[in-house]
Amino acid sequence: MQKNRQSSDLRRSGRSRWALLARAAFVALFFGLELAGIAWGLRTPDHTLGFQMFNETSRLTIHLFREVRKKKRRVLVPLPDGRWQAPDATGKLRDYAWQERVHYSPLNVLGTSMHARYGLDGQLFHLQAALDDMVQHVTDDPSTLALVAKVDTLRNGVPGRVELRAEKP
Amino acid sequence: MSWLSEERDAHVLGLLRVAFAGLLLLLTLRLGRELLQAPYFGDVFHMPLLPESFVPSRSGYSVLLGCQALGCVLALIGVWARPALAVAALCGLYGLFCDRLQYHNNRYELLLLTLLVSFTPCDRSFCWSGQRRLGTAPRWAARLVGAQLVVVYLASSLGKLADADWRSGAVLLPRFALAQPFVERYLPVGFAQLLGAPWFAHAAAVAAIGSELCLALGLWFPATRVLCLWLGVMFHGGIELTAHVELFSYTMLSGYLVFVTPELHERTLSWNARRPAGRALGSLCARLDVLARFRHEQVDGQASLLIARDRSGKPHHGLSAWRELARASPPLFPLWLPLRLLTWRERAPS
Repeated sequence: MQKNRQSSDLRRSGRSRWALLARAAFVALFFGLELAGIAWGLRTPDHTLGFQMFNETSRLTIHLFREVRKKKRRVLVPLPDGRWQAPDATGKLRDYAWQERVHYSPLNVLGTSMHARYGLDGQLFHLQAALDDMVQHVTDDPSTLALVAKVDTLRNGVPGRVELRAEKP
Repeated sequence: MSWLSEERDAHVLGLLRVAFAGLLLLLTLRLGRELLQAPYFGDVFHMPLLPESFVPSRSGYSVLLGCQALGCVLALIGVWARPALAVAALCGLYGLFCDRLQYHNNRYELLLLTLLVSFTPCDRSFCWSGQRRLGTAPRWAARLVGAQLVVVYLASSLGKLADADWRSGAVLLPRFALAQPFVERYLPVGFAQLLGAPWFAHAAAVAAIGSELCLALGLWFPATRVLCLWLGVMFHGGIELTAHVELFSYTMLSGYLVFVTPELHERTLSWNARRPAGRALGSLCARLDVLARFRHEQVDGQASLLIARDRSGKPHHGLSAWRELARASPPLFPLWLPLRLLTWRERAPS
């Protein structure tokens, strides 16, 4: 009887030691991954996973252009509402719209000053990705050579201007 | 590492589960509404953190949201509460990693906290069936919930501390300028001038960084905990009133429940049963005491309306009694510091 109880206690203490080890391993894994995410996030422009709350009070106004060839020169055609028409390879006129592809605010708002959520660098990073994405989806428009965004910025009250472009593949 | 094997009463953790299941359900419903009202993010411009092939189709995402909502509801009513809560949190994290454009710190924090809550013994109380399992249970994961709150406060405050614009007040000054029209209309002229002063923005920045650092460290020490909890309630209340950050304030305030002492009914509220106010307030307090902080008594021959006994058994009368009530009642907690200051002459209980 005594022997049985001792072996049961031993089994229980062994189990509890494994349980403690498992808990310690979980803690190390969970916070290790999270801290790695924070370290990565701090190096990315939009600070994803970085817990950088209210990091800036910045604004941006996006002016969108398409670059076309006119008399052997590249010129910028403004797109105040993000819409344009162009003939495709068969000559049929087609409609294109920035907002059909880009629904994310503040990038879908053109010509209006908008709050740059999570900082200006983050929104400019997203805007460059949006331009790259858009030009991938207008391959049947031979007249557009590139999309260009001229952005008026206000970083913590300090004005500036940035130009981003995406060449069609 | 004794905290890994610590076992204490788990009653309060049931309320933690209900709070996080409810908050995650609200977020899930919002995502579901967005899916119905706007194009699916996977069909338009998006930026996944995972490889593109991991982004589900519209119908796959709908199923994911459905599982998330079901997990939240089951956790809310206490049926398979812990696995349901874990599944809901994991579904949410997967969805969050499918598009960094939809990433918000408050959503990420809510999902991480919910996942950690599912590892606590949070299924022993506040269940639909009304069954309650008495006794102690391992509380190690509840400590992790507290640590997760600290991670957010530290990351946020150290990020601001390292930023020269934040330290100088340059980030807050334009924010204060946005509030100028409201202040000019409703408050005396001096306030508007104050909001426009760079020195005031600098002082506010230092106070905000200091508050976050205090919250990160002070919540862990019994001597500073109640003051830091009060500071946290005010801090998040202020954020909720002045900025739109979805469920952030509610998430952090719900997380504060892990800092509540697990043991129950250690204080006593004794109401004067001869006075109608005593009977009514006694009954109301008993109903609102969801954290089970007090033993509730109605006494006939009592001179004052309320006598509160703290953990050491020391009786408090008058304003001090109301202070003790406010200290342990979440709805009255904002009154604790004003009452503490009004009764400052009284020696703090040892």
